[in-house]
Amino acid sequence: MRLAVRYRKLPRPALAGLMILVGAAVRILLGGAPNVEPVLILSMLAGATLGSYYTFVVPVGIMALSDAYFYVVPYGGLYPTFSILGLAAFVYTGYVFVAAAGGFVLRRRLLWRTKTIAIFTAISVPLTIAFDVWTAFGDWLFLGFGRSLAEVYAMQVPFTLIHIFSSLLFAPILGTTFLAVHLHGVPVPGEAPAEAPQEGSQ
Amino acid sequence: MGRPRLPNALRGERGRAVGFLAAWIGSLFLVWSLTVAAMPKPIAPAGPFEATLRIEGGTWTIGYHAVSMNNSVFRFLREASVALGFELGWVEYPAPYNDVFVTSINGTRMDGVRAWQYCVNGAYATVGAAAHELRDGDTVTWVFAPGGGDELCA
Repeated sequence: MRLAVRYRKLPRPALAGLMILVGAAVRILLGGAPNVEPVLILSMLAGATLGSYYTFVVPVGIMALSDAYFYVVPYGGLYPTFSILGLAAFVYTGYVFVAAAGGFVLRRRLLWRTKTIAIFTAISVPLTIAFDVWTAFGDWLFLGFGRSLAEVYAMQVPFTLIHIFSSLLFAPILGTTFLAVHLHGVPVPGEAPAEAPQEGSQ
Repeated sequence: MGRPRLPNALRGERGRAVGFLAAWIGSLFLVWSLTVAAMPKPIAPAGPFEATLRIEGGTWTIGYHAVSMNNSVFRFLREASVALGFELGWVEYPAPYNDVFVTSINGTRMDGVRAWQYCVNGAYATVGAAAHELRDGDTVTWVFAPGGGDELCA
């Protein structure tokens, strides 16, 4: 018997669970670098590869898991509950919008091609900007401390640049990985198929 | 004479992948350069200077005047907290931000409505406390208040 690697397709709930776990873990690990995060890209991927209610479940799952950590451990008591919930509403809906947009643009174009990853990476930039415009508005509403909206947007510029960098960094890495898992499955050890007997005559 | 042919490795899907990789690295480099250019520059150390600090916590006030080498608003505040023994809380944002967010002074902690904000010589701050350079004769005022803007600094 020979062992070989085979590929087994993951059912959609398992792929969604994998995205949520990876997203929450990476977001927590990168917590010291604000706006460097994998959630936006994984939300797009959820919309593009899974669609349906996973467009909502994956981004909200990643955020809920990691927020449970952030607001209990490093930011415990720093912000009042009202501000946290208000800002969270903008952040969560922003990611759900990104997931829906990712699904709208890419759902029917998922092929194992460089072009797919290139389009995916390219559209991550305007979606990152749209997300930041939306969440900075929420920031102004709930944590603005009297600053004008224009001031909040002006202060947001360097953070958005970092966010774009983050999206450009993660889009091909996570995009290629999860597209491969979605289209081809995960490698599992298995038995190699028996070789066909050689036919011929001497 | 025919068109020059690309090597096999640079044609088709592999060629597109190499092209995408080059564009990806180039765009990362470009965005990172823009980010670094948009970030406040670190404050270079300077000679001794004289400055005044006033902290208004609503029901209490702290004053501090010193000749110092700590030429950023935050470092001068930290110096005062050590010299006078009052509590100071902050959240640090590492590179590329290199800045801080002051969350609490002398036990008065931001509460979502009110936060610690500062003015220098009567002008409301436009950058983080670690990115504002102090000069000789400056007066820094920290105010615990809900709103922002120059009216805080009057």
